[in-house]
Amino acid sequence: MKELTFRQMMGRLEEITAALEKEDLELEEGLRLFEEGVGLIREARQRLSKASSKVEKLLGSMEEGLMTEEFELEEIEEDKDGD
Amino acid sequence: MDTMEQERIYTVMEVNLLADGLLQGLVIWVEGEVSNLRAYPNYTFFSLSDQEAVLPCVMFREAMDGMVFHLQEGTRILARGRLGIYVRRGQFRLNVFEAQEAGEGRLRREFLRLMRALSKQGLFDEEIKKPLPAYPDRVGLITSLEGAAIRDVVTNLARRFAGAKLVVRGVRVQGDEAVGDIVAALELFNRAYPVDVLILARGGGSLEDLHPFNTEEVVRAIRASSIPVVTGIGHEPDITLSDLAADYRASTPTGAAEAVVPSSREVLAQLKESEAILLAQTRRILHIHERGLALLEKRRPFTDPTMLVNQARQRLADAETRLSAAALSGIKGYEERVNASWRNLSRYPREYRELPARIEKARRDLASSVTVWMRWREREPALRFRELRAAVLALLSREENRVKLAGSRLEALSPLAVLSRGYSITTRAGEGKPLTDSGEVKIGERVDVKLHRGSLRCEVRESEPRKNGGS
Repeated sequence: MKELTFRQMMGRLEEITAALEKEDLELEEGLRLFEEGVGLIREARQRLSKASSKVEKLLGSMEEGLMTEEFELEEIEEDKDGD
Repeated sequence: MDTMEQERIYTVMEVNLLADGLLQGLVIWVEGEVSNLRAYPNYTFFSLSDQEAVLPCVMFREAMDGMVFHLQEGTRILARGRLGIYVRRGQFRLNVFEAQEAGEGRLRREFLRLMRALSKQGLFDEEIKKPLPAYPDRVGLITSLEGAAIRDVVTNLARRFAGAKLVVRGVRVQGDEAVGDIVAALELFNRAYPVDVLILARGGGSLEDLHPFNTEEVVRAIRASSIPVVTGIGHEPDITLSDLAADYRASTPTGAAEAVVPSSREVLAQLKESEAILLAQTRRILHIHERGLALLEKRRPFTDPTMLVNQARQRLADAETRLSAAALSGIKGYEERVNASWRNLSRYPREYRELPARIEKARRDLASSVTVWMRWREREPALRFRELRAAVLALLSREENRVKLAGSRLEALSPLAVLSRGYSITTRAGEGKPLTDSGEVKIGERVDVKLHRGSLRCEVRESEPRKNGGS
């Protein structure tokens, strides 16, 4: 199974809480949703606790093809301060 | 004399007119700074100057009225006018009939003109602005790879929210090439590198520095983007046409980074809330099922299993009772109807026998009435024949209906109707009263049995006394 994006996880979590609020939910279904929801919350927290978001530089052109390379903040830290 | 002719002496007026004539027709554009401004109702005097020289100018009321800005001391303007001499005073001057702000002022005027034009086309309408995604997975950034803007966006985005990936496309943000770079980058993301949201950023600067962001090309490229665009251009008070066209305008690059991603703290709070809801709802579901189970356990089938058997037994007994009662009452019903029919028959026969005579009498009465009427009519020819005829016919049919009704009522009451269903009436031979008890006749006695069609003369051979409930 493909790893969910953060947005997909939040969307699924919303679905789960809405489903749990229904009146006539089977016990087994309720427990399954609970388990899934708790798992999603744990995963989301883990991702947020990572050091920082990834930054990439987009190079090339539509004609010649695109490529990305990792972008280091240091490249610009050397620049002079100012606007 | 020729020389005298050539060296004629001009009047002052003639000299000034000559100079004016030499300048006449020369219409020029000139740029300079306004000074020494003196306004009168019908004309305005001022001077245009630069570092090296001063040019006296006049502007007449008609030209002033056509101007879209006010002349002010110190403003740099572009003026178009005709060079000439004010002959009465011999003053050299420029008769200005058109003026525009130059430099920064001109840019601002152009900015306002374009803003009005694009606004009229609906490019800045609030309704067409796209909502920003709540949790973007990929954020595209279009800005210069050098300068503070990119650092502000990258550091703030990283600090705020680690759930998103940032992709930077470097462009020139100043000068003639900037417009093409920015438009191409917007198209590049839209066509070849989809992201959830785009940031267009640049540090602050003069109106001239920000000019690429005030061009129609960039404005249209922003609006054409199917990816939501957030602008973070310049400092707080700077506003560009790109800002107006963007789906969201942040006042600085830092603001743009904050606008596109939620803060981790907010998301964590939301996750905590979701967790609380999950727990509460799951507890509620468990509770509902537990309560249902408890209620079920208290029900009698679980506390007293013999109840089910007793219930079934009771239902069977009830059914038996109902069945025999129904059979009894059905038989009783038939008996009663036969008896009632007989009673009616014995009550009505006289009337039945008299019926034909009554009908005959009604007919006779009717006939005599008609005869009476016929005679009467001969005496009263003015009476309307048709109306009377209708009245008589109505009378006749009413009479006939009464006769028919009496017949059918008698028919319904007749025990013959019961006989047609297979019942029969037994009487002692030659008597009219029907027998209802076997004890009423002795062995060997003769009885008449009347059937639906015809009757039988019989002799009693055996007799059974009445049994309980039987027939």
